[in-house]
Amino acid sequence: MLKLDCFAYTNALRRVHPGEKLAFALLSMTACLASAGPLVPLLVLALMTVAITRGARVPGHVYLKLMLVPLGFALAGVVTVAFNLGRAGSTYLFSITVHGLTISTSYADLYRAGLILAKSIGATSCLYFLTLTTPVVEVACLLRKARLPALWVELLCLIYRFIFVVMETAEKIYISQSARWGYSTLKNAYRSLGQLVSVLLVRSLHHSRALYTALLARGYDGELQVLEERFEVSRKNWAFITGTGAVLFFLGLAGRGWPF
Amino acid sequence: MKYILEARDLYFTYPDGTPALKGASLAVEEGKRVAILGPNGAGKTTLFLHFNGILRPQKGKVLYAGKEVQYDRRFLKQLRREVGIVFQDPDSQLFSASVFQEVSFGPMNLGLPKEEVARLVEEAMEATEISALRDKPTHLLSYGQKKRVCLAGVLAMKPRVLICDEPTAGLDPKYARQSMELFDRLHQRGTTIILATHDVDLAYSWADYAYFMEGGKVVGEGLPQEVFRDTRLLESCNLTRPWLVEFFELLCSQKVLPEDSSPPRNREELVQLFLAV
Repeated sequence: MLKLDCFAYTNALRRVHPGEKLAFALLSMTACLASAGPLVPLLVLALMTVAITRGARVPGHVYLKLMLVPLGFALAGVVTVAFNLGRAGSTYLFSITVHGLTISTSYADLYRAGLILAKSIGATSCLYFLTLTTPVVEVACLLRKARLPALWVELLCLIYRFIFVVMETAEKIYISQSARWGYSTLKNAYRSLGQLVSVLLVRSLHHSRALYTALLARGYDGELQVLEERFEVSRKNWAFITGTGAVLFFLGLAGRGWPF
Repeated sequence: MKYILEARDLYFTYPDGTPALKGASLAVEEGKRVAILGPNGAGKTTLFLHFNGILRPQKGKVLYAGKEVQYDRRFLKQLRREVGIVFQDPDSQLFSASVFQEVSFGPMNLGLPKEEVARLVEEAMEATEISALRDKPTHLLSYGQKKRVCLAGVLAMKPRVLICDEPTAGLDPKYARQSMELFDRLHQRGTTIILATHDVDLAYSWADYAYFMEGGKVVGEGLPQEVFRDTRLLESCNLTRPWLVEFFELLCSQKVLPEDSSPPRNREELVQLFLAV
């Protein structure tokens, strides 16, 4: 998660308008999910892979590792779609019987499983594109522009910021505990972990109070108003986004499953 | 003499029963560099929180530019614009993950137009030398960088009085020196600067005037070249004498320097004094 966050700030598409990146990811994802056949999801996967590794210059092995995580989940889920218990009618492709239990699959089942797999992987790649190229702060700006309640957006930003503060604090406490044999035995470890959690809570409360004081000192009056950085709107990018979106939608809907 | 900030006999006890101020009085002249020294728990931070109206004294008065501080919205808003505080721990001051947004918070609260805010933010980032960090998230910054972002966040409001709580604590010598240079630049432009510090050498060389706090009270004050020779006062605040003073007095007692010479304020003055003999 931390690595993902770092790439969001250092990738080569950092200066691209966040709205464009969001539109690109969402349009492609919708086209992918709405598609009737597996062609469009696979195209979206290819498109996002190129956008992430070539466009944003995220190293290929990092991207591959990230993709393996949802792939594992998707495969596990898809297996239950592909295989049926009991003999599935006359169209079955093959079946095996072990101890009187019959497992079978048919061409239609396999196709459906493949489609689900392709769609989920395609959609995940779109989300990865967004998270790897766009910092949370900028997504929050978009949410604010989309007229989401200010309170939600502020909470989102504060939580995001303090995840790191809390993690850093926890890490420091953990290190100082283990330096004093706090995790040497299972019993010690339980006790140390318990103390760590309770201290973390107390520190967080203290932090929130100190933060409130510091905000007051800078004229806080109930709303976290900040100036958002300006990004150049690129016509070229918008043309590309709408172009690819249109092609993907056309292939996915008008093609009706072509060529499969 | 014109006092920009004045505390008159302030008493304050925290809700948990800790008495933090027990009759603290001091007056800061406009445009001066003031150091406030004292051990941990002497009440320095609590005093600062009174200076921009975050805490309200249970007894006593706070005056800003000769006017008694009123605790209504309008007065406080103006006061907090003109008296900026940079707190000691940057992690409890930074609320945003974006450096740019963090710095823009103060000026946005002043209700300025966006172009003006953007200009102030750029200026403050330049002054604190953090322009190169604008694209970095605050959680990937070093401690020293975070401290500068905090400072920029306050400077962007263009305060008349800048209060810094331990600005050099935990910084490496280079960052510490750069911060002090920045304070000097601000001072030249007329900003009143109040620093809380434990560093007697720094306070001695830098300040125009020094206050000593202990047990919620101001126990001593004066020109650095005078008060820093008061061993009993320094001891009562758990402080030692600046090395320059110590060395100077050694030279006087050894008759190397005449008794009536005035103590050097920095290394260069000491060298001058030495060469003159």
